[in-house]
Amino acid sequence: MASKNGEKLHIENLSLNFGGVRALDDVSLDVRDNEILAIIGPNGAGKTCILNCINGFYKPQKGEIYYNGQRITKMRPDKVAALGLARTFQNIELYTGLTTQDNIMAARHVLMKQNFFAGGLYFGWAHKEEIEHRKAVEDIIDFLEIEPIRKRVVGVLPYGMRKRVELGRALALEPKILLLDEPMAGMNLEEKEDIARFIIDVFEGQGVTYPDTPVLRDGITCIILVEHDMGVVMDIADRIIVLDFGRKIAEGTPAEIKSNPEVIKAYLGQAA
Amino acid sequence: MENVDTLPKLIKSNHEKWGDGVAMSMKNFGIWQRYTWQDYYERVKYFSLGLISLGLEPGDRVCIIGDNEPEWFWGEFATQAAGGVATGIFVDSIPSEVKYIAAHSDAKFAIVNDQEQTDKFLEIKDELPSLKKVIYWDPKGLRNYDDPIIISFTEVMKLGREYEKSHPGLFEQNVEKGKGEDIAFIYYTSGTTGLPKGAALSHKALIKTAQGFVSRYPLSHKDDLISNFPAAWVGDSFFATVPHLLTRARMNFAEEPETIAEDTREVGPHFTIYGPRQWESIVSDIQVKMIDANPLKRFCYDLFLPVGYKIADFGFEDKTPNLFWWALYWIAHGLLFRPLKDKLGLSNVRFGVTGSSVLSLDTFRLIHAVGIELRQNYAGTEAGFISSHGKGEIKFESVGRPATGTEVRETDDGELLIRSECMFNEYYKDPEKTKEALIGGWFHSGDAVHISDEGHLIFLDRVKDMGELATGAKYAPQYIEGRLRFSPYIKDAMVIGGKDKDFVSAIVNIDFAMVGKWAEKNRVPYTTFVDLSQKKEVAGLVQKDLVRVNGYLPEGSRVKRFVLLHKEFDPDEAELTRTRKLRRGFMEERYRALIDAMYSEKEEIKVEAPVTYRDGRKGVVTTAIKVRTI
Repeated sequence: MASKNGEKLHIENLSLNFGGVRALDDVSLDVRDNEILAIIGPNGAGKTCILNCINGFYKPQKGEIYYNGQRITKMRPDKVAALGLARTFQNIELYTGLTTQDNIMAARHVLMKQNFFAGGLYFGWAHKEEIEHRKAVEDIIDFLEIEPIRKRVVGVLPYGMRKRVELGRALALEPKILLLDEPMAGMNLEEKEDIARFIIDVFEGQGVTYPDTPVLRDGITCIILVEHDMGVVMDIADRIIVLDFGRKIAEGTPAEIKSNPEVIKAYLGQAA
Repeated sequence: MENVDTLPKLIKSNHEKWGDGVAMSMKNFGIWQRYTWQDYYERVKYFSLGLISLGLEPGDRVCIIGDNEPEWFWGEFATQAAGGVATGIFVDSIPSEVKYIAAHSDAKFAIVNDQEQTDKFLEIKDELPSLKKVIYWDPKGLRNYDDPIIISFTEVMKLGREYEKSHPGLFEQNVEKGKGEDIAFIYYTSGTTGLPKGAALSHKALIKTAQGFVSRYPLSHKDDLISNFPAAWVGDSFFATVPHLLTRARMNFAEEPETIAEDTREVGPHFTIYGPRQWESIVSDIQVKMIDANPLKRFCYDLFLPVGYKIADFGFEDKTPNLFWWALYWIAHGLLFRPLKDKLGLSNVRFGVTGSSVLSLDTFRLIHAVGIELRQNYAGTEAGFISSHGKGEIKFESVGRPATGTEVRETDDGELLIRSECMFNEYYKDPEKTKEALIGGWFHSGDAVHISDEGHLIFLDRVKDMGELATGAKYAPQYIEGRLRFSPYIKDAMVIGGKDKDFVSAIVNIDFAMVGKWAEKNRVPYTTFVDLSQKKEVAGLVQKDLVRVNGYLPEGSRVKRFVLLHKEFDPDEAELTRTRKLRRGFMEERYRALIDAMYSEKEEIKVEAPVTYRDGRKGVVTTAIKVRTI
């Protein structure tokens, strides 16, 4: 199946079961270029399951996922990452013993071309390559304003900061699609505003501010956001998909979703 | 140096003589990036020409707002080189404050740091008819802004390069045209009383002040300074920027405001000047860390600190310690003071300076004990450098001897008058106030200062703040507050009294981190700041400090009643100025009910405090506050 105009990711009749539990039930959706797509829904609706299927953690029993027309269903997570899909996790998954800069640098290793010997001896262009990637890491540190924690071990950082480092690591992969799983969970208002700002800035691209780091210069034109905070979602998403008990119950612009009776029912329950 | 009478001329002469020397460095991307005098000069030059090409004319005002970064200063000197007048705005000012200064100074250009500051100006630009361009130097986040009023710093420099092609030699002519008497900068005083006033200072006043300063505190091109003052404050020009131009001492800029402690430690500046609150926070930092340190370190600290005190006392009495004490001090230095100073980033400091308000005796002694020669300094926006301690004449109680060329006089009601070449020209657009402050060439400082027989100035308080009680007893609120602040458990305090009151009372701010730690250790459960502040045990803790300070005071002016405030004093709510001075009049109005309760029999009072959140929204907090009696 070929990608249609502006369609980056195409999901077709996806179903996922855990024993008798139906986590996803025949979900189809498209993710287009130039949009921030939000997936919302009550707890256990299957939001994270979709992300896990996309990046290969879960193998759906039924249905297909296509990225730019290429079938990626049940592909290994590292292969998916190499194709340009990066993600963050709801429960932060960083290397807690490494510093911020090393955590972000770790993502760059996928992009490095040096071999075992050159890298081991840190010789010739291995050296040059390291510096290039280190520069990109610095750009990301600058962009996310995490200079003060550059050399701190992430295990000791506060939650909000760790989330930010994780976003930094996802950016360092230079992805084409960014999957964000509850990037603002457990944050206070100010931290949420910061993250929202970063997401928009990444989406728009920063141009000449970071001329040598493509992901910041040109931006990531396709972002999938799983988030609980309705206020944030309504503000920054272009399109919203609502899940409830593994089924897609609504899809549309924030204004449409706000007034959709199905959505209100899923969130607030039904009047007795 | 005779004809080098303006700041741009200083830059030009430094560039001609020492073009390759490092003038500034700024940490960026984790690496110290250096700028030579050549780089410095070129940036000032092309930015200046760029401003002219955009329509800057001699005498026009340009306001600058941002973190301390090289561009701030390039922008300032570029403005002055073109004959313009620069003015600064404190970086955390809210849009209404920014508007006041930009409108009052009729600024034609605004030089701003980043998106945050640009947004402030875009919000208010319609109310600023004279504003032509907003020039930002950090383009992050501004890519999709299409307002034609904004332009980048580099873009302006590019315009300058173009402009030079059609106007060769213009910049050099402009610099030559500058005179020492020209107004260089308008400093908006922090305004402890009402709206800010703009004190206009000439190049001459700035340079004379800095020269006086450098003669007391010799600096050279081998020294490093760290730019840690708000650049909009006059102290930054007096004690950092202009001395840096005069002596070529390198100016270092931290990567972000949050990294300043770490970056200071990397630079190891040779000279530091902090406000009393910063010194106090260094001292309380030492004390907090020591409580948490391992037993061996605590043992060293307890053992050797008295040695430091002893040596410091020798210094104060201008005596030389004998060999025994020297030997002990040498050991103490190696085992305690040197590592301690290193941790604080003060290893290389030749002199430390404090100023702006009263520093507590205990802080002063501890800093000396650690081995830093801390000197008091007394200066004012309008009067320049007034006095400071010289070598070998350090006395806690005094703010030193008047600087060379500064004449001082005391009026009958104890106010200090000053006359020197360092003084301001006028309050911008406020001849009334100028006339009140400058009478017959003497500046009326409003400070209650006693001139001792040895010629030392002893600062008591602001004249209008020296209090008198109904009983006729005098009391000095700042003195009591300074003492209270030295307690690790007290962050801030405001002392209240007056002719209608029989005794002195205090509103105390607990130090949340320290008291919280204390509460944990002593098993006092608490939830929030509000809860903790009203705990009986905490009141007992603070009372101990009040009793200690009361011990220094005469019977009649002791603190009798106090409250622990449910929140911290906050500059965002206009309770403190941006330099963290108390705004008394405002606070007394705001906490009227609380103060009345202290002078009645009440034991508890409900307080509704309006709070302003960072994003400008307003809310109300209701709390029951207990009034305690000592």
